[in-house]
Amino acid sequence: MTSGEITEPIQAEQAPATSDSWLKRWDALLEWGSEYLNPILVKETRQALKSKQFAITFTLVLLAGWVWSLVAIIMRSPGIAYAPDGPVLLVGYIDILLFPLIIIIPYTAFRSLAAEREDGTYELLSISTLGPGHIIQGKLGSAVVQMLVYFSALAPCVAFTYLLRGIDVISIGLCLVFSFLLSLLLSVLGLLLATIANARHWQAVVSVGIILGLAIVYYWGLYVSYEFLFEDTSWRAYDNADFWTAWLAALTVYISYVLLIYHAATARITFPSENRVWKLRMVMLGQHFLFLLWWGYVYLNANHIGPLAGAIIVGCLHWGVMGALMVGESPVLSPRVRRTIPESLWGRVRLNWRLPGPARGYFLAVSGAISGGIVVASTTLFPRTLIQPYGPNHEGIFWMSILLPCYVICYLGLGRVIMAGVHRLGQGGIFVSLLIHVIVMAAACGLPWSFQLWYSNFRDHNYTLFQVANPFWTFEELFSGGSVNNSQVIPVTIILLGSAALMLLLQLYLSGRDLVPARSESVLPPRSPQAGAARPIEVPQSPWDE
Amino acid sequence: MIQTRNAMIELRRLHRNFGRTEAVRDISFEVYPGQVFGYIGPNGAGKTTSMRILATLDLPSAGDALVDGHSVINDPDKVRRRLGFMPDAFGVYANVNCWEYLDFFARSYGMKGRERRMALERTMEFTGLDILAEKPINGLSKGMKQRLCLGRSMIHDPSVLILDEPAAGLDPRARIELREMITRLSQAGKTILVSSHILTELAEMCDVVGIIEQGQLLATGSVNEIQRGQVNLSRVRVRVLEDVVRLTEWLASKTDLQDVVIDGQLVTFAHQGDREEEAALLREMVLADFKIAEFAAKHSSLEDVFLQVTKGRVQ
Repeated sequence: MTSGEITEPIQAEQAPATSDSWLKRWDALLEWGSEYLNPILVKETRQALKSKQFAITFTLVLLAGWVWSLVAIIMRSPGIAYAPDGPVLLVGYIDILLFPLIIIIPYTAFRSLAAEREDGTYELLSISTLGPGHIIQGKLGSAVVQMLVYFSALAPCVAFTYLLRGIDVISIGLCLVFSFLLSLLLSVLGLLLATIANARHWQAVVSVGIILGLAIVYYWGLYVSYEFLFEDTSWRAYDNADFWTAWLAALTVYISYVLLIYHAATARITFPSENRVWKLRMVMLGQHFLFLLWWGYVYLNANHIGPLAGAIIVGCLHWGVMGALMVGESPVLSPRVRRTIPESLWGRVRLNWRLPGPARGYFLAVSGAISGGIVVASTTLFPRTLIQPYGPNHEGIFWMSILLPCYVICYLGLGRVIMAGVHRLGQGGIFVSLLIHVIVMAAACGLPWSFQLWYSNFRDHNYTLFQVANPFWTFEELFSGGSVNNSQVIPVTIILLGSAALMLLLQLYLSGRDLVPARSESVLPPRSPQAGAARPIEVPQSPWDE
Repeated sequence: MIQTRNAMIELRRLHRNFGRTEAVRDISFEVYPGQVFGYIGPNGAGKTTSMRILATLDLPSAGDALVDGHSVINDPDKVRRRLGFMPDAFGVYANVNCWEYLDFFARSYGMKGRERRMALERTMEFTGLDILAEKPINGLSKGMKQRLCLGRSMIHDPSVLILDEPAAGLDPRARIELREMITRLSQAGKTILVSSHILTELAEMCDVVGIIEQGQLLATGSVNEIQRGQVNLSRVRVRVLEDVVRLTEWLASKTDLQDVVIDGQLVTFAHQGDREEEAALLREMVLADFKIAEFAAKHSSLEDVFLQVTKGRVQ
């Protein structure tokens, strides 16, 4: 087929210009605007406009808003004119709105991507020029459009509450922003979960899990909206700078996690030969600095040392979970990724952490945990006379910032060794890796305790050094009551530091040259001597050739 | 001067393993511009796997596949721009009509404004769907859905089309129409790789066929070329006016004949040789004074070749 086959001029383009109907002009304007939108967003909006589910949900939300307005006004009249009844009506509207925002939209986003995979349309999308990022953005954009439609359905009702007493515009705005952000987070999470299971039965299991999870979040949302608008209004200190700083901190952390989940979902549907992890690792690293920044800010502004403990615990938890996922990555580097590796040794070392692979993932997570530990430990030691008086809590956090990274090093190392075996069997994946780490940790906590109980005929329930693999019990034993257990902390530190050092050496040995792989140019395999009998068509280059 | 064009599709020592199962084993072939390559083999032979690799939906375990010189491993994006793929599943959306469906895929290939509208008009007209533009996809017949899917795969005017079982489940009319469309696409210079179980269909529209079984390419070439590579047995029927018994004895003395069957004045037998040798045989019969009233030879079809080449094994 060639363009030469077109015999009739295209009339469609002229139609809106010559038409005097404003509807057609509006349609043409929308058509023009849609050129700049994500194709999936355009397609899904068209589908939604014809969808019975959307029409029914929208109508129900609208009806529920009207019914609640009538019921609340009748119940609170005649005092509604002067009593502070704004929160009563607003909490009803927010709860009505939360149903589509928390349950319908995230589940629709999940089903939308899952259905693409089930019906085979995902493959058609993936071989188009739309990238995986476009696909996730389109689905997310469609979710946002739905949110805006539901917001618009109840906008007059919500605006009405502002006319009543007892509620201010900032509280109304915060409620709406919080609902929007929650729905967006759940939608992007739904998209990630849609990429996890390929088999239909697993999709069904994930589907049920999501519905249960969303129902729980919905009830939590109802509780929070009630608490925020009725019970505890003291924290709504809008004239206090700390209130807005806390919102800003929460917002930046929220954005970092939405970005992380978004990139994780994108990575899951990216072609396997590409480097699917580098954006994820950039976000992880960004989160590391974000946590340090905010905890540092709180520490400098607070009158106690608690935020430093928060910094090291959150930091190690972050790298522990991320590391558990990263060591599940495939150890094979595709030729395409190898082609992007810099040639110089310095370049290879500098950009090594951006390459996929369990060894590099392990060392990135461990580096993050160690660097966090060093920052917190040095903060407890050096500037104590400058910022805060030195106290017993400083000592506890100092030891904690040494011991927690040791646990991260040991558990991730153990998990990586197990995952190496799992990969050899041709199985595995990041979620299998996470599960294995949870099992390993549970076993390392439970087995020594069971052994100790059995060995002492169930009489010895006390902490011994045999329980050092259990971080929860160890920390409880070392740091309970605001002071450090000096008789235990030195032997525990020696054991954990020694184990961590050995584990690091073992990991370096296992990784070998793969830790900093060399660049390789792609080389096509040679043609087979029996290559297909199909012969090239001889193209005549002049009339004499024919 | 004769210049040779580069292959539009090239498989180089392609392997694909699923665990211990070798779905594709060292397959190599080339398809040149304007050719229609028929990919035939029993179920589970590895056709769909190798087509999916070409369509950048899967990665080879070893080897490579090239589309217009671009590797599916190293340059999947370039491959996608040059390739249209029609899988064996329809892959349609709910609450979408034919026009919206094609419009969506045109947008997905980055087509904008007038270019997109022209592509839609062209595709609708080519597939005969212009009269069904507003019809919901769910209400289309199987044949119409297949046209729509063909339209979708060619909306961005790719130079290579990969069609996986496009005629499966279609009625005879729809099959003929599909065949005509593929022939027209080939005439327009598209390179087409098509798999099918309906071998008579393939024989009529394919320039080249490749026979695959258990992940291995057993033969490639035109149907005639493959036939030449096989033991070329044709079934010959001869009707004589008299001397049937003498003819039978005469035929029995020939070494390249077998399986002689007499049915009244009609004698049928299997003959190993090409058309030249059949003509020589007829001449010998006439010279031997047999009164020949009818002489006809039925040569092996693509189905016969397929049965000879493959052994009916599946993985």
